[in-house]
Parts: sequence; C-alpha cells; structure tokens
Amino acid sequence: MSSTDRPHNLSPDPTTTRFGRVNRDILGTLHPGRLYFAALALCLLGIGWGVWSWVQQVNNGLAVTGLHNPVMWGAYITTFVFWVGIAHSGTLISAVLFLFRARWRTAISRAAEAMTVFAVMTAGLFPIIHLGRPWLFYWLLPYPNQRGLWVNFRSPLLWDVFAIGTYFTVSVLFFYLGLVPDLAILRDNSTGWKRRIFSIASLGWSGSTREWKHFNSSYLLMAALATPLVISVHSVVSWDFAVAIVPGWHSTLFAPYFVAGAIFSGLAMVLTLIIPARKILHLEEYVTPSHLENVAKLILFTSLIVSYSYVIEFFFAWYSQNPFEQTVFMSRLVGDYAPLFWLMVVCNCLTPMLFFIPSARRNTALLFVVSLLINVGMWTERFVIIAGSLARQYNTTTWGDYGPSWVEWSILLGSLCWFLFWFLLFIRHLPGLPIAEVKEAMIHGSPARNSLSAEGQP
Amino acid sequence: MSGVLGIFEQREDLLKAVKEARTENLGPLEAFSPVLDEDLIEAVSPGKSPVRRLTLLGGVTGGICGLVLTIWTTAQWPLLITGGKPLISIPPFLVIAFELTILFGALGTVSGFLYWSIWARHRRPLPYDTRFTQDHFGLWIECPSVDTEQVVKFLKERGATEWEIR
Repeated sequence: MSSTDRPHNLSPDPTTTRFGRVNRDILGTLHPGRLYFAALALCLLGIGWGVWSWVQQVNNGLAVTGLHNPVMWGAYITTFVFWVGIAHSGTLISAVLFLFRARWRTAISRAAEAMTVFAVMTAGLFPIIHLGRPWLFYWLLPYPNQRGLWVNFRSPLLWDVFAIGTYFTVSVLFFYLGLVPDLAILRDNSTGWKRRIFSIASLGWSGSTREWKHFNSSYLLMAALATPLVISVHSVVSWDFAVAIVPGWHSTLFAPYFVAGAIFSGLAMVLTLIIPARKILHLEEYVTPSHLENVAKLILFTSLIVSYSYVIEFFFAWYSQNPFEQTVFMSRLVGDYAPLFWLMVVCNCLTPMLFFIPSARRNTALLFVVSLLINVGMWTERFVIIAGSLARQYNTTTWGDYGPSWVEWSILLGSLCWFLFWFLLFIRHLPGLPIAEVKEAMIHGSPARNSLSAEGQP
Repeated sequence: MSGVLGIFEQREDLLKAVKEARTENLGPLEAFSPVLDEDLIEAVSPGKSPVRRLTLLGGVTGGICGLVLTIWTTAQWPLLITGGKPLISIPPFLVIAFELTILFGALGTVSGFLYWSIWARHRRPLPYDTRFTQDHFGLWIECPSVDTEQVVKFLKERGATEWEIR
C-alpha cells in the first residue's frame, strides 16, 4: 500500500538538484565518441605488436634482446621498476591523502586508484617476460612439490613476489571497495542486462546507514593498511638492487630514494592521464586547475627529494673513497652513460623547478608537457641505475655495454598500450570520479561544485 | 516485517526526524543516504563498527603465517649456502611476514565489510527506492505494534515528501 500527499511531478527534477547534477555529469562521461574507439584500436594494435615480439623472444630465446654479460638486467627490469613506481602515486592519493583528510583528492582519486591497479598489472608481466623459460614462472611460489624443494626466502626476488602479489591484491580490493556505492548508482541508472551485471557487482548496496558505517570503517582500515604497504613495496623493489654488492647499487639510501622516485613518477603519470581525460570527458568543472596545481606541488616536493638523493649518491661515492663506486659514478657523469644521466637530471631535477612559479602550476598545457618529460626521465633514471651500474662492475675486463634491442623496445611499447587499454576500458565503463565522495564533499559545507577544490592544500 | 518508509529531500529534515524518532521511541530505525554521512551514522547506529576486529585478527594470522611458512620451509630444505649467517635468518623472513600481515589484514577487513554491510542487509531486506543513490534520503521505521497512521503523521510533519506503508 502506497500513498503520497503530492503528485509526483512536484518533486524536483533530479537533474536540477545538486546531487542529481553530479550523477548526470559524471555518468555522462560514460558515452565517449569515435576518438575513443580509435584510441582503443591503436592500443590493441600496440599490444599485438608487443605480444608478437615476445613470441619471437620465446621462440629464439633471450638472444634476441640486447642482454649479455655483464648486463643481464636491462630494459625489462627497468620497465618493471618504472611501472611499479607509477602504481605508487595512486595509493598515495587514495590512502595517504585520505588519512591526511586532504579533501581535494576526491577529484583525482578514482582515476589514480584505477591507474594503480593497471600499473601493477603491467609491472607484474615484466619479471615473467624477463625469464628465459617463462612457462616455469610458478617455481617462484612456495608450494609443496615432488622435488621436495622450497623457495629461498633469503632472496630479495622472493620478497618481490610477496610484495607485488600483496600490493596487487590490496589495490584491487581497495579500488573495488571504494567503487561499491558508485556501482549502485550505475545499477539504478541502467536497464536490462547492464542493470543485472551492476546489481551483482554492487552487492545489493542500498545506502543504509549501517552499510555506510561499516563501509566507512573498512575504507579507513584499508587506507591504514595500504599506507605502510606502499612504502614497503618500493623498498623491497629497491632491495632487489641494494642487497647485491654491485657498485652503484649497494646503498642504504635506496629504499627511501626509490619510494620518493616512485611517487614522483606516479604523480606525473596521473597528470599525463588526467589532463587529456578531463578535456575529452568534459570534467573541467570537477577536476579544476587548482586540483592539478596541488598535484604539481606534490611533484615539486618529490622532485626535490629525488634530486637530493642524486646528489647524496655522488657524495657517498666520494666519501667512501671506494674506487669501484667512484668509477661507476664517474661513468654516469662523463662516461658512456653521461647522455642518459644528464637527460634524467634535466627531466627530473631541472624541469620540475618550473613549478616554483605559481602561473606554471596552473598552466595545463605546460603541466602536461612536464609530466611527459618526467615519465621519460624516470624511466631513464632506472635504466642508468640498473644497466649503468652492471656495465661498470669492478675489473675493467668485466665491463660491457648494453642497449635494448628492437624486441625490448617493442615490448616496452606494448606494455604502454596494455596499460592505456585498461585505462580506456575503465573510463568507458566505470565513473572516473567517485560520485558518492563528490557528493559527500558537498555536504561538508561546500556551497557549489567548484568550491570542492577550495579546501585543503597538500 | 511491517513499517513505514518515508522519503526526504532535505538531509537536515531527515536528521531531525531521526533524532525525534529516537526520543519518541518509535521503533527500530534505518536511514538511507546517497552519501557517507557521519552525523547520520551517529544518530542511527552509534558506536564503533566491528570490522576492525577482523582486521586485527587477519593481520595477526598473516604475521604468524609468514613466520611459520618461512621458518618451516627453510627447516624442511636446509640450504647450507647462507654465507655464514644462520639458517633461520629472521630479518629477511620479516619482510615476508610483514607482507602477509598486510595481505591477511586487508582480506579480513573486506570480509568484515561483506559480512556486516552486505550479508547483514541480505538477511534482513528493507524496502528500497532507487532515488537513494541519487539525491533523496529515506527513513524506515519499523512498527509492528505502533499504529502506522501515527508514524505516517510523524514523518509528514517532519518534512517527508512521500511514504510507503509495508
């Protein structure tokens, strides 16, 4: 039995209420045009090229790569570290900024979380691609077997397996948890088979206070778990190198240095993805220049830490009076790896200094260009550290040079396309902004949509 | 289960109605909101969520599992090439234990969310309106004994725009 005092048409049109407008604007982004499908096709083409190159490598062995003694870790491991690093800023934005109550994170948190998941998915491929016999990758897992063997837990490579495995699982769970209320919005705004899918995915979310209560608590706890996790993951990745006694690697500085570098590169990738996305999806009202400015400030801060680490590394080499250490660093400064080294200094240390100028932080075109340069610079940084150090170990007779072959470049390109492919699928099928959180920011005293950005500075 | 579901357009009206329904002792309440609203949570079901207990349980289990896995498997297969260090070297094993602590803690948290938020709701279904994910708020008052007309009157006086008697 149902009754109502007023006729239905007197209740306000949902698109005129503030919350209703948020629903309409953000759900409106889920119908992109022809450009979207062109980009998707291009990505698929790139993935296909990468997969074909990998098939060549599986058929012919690692000889098709540029890897040879003494440089047995090259572009693949560099790319692995690069993508793991990209993932980190997503967790920083979704978990660390959440714990610090930086409300401006709302505008970019969903995209950054999605980026984390896809970047880890990309990174996870590389240790397997790097294997000579990739079909035996499961030997890395500790499982009871006929050979009576167990894995060697003293090896940092095993720590990697656990760190990356945990990181992927926790990122996916965190991403999904935050998505549940928004999936319910999608369910209530769709029909037919889509509604059925979203019904299952949203777990029957109804927005009752008891659901919200446990949701709130779970989200906070997940953020609290993700924060130490993100620091541990890149520390473990850095120990892959720091634990070995290779000059240029064997340093206690590596863990904090890599964590800062990871967040730095990840924030740049956030800008690389968000700046075009907000334009194409018409989300300028929600992702405002002041949000981008906040990201730019974080980039500037992490860039200073990274630059400081570069300087301190050279100081270590000089202060230790270790000739092997000094040789490696001299080869970066003036030797064969100098062009790459100076490229990374320009991209990672000098260009971000532009962000000291307030107008530069608010110039979206400039932000985009700088973010691309940082992406290049951070890949180069890992390459210089990994290949550059292996190439100049101890005795001059064991020196050797390395450059990636076309197979390695193709797989790098393929991985970029794979990452973008997933990101494109994400912005087509799921809301790119956390709708429920955007509304929440409104009830916390923000009179208009735009004032979402006015509160909270990093 | 019988009761009345009132639909509100204004959050403030709903908050007031919840507080007054509590003082008038109208019956078990449940409110619906499109956003996470801590004031509303405090008014409807005060107290801490029990999810944190499962987080702790998961974390402790994970840590123990990490230590047991590393120490037990190393003892099973005593590889002697340890560079003079003890076979059971705790520092590297702590890395594994740490990661598993986080992993199991996160799994525990999500299980807690699924159990208390999702499963509890499926076990005790309440009426729902699709506008609750859009821009409307709802208040469900269970009234097996109280006169439903009285509850409808209560909701109407406090700004409910629609209601439904179940």
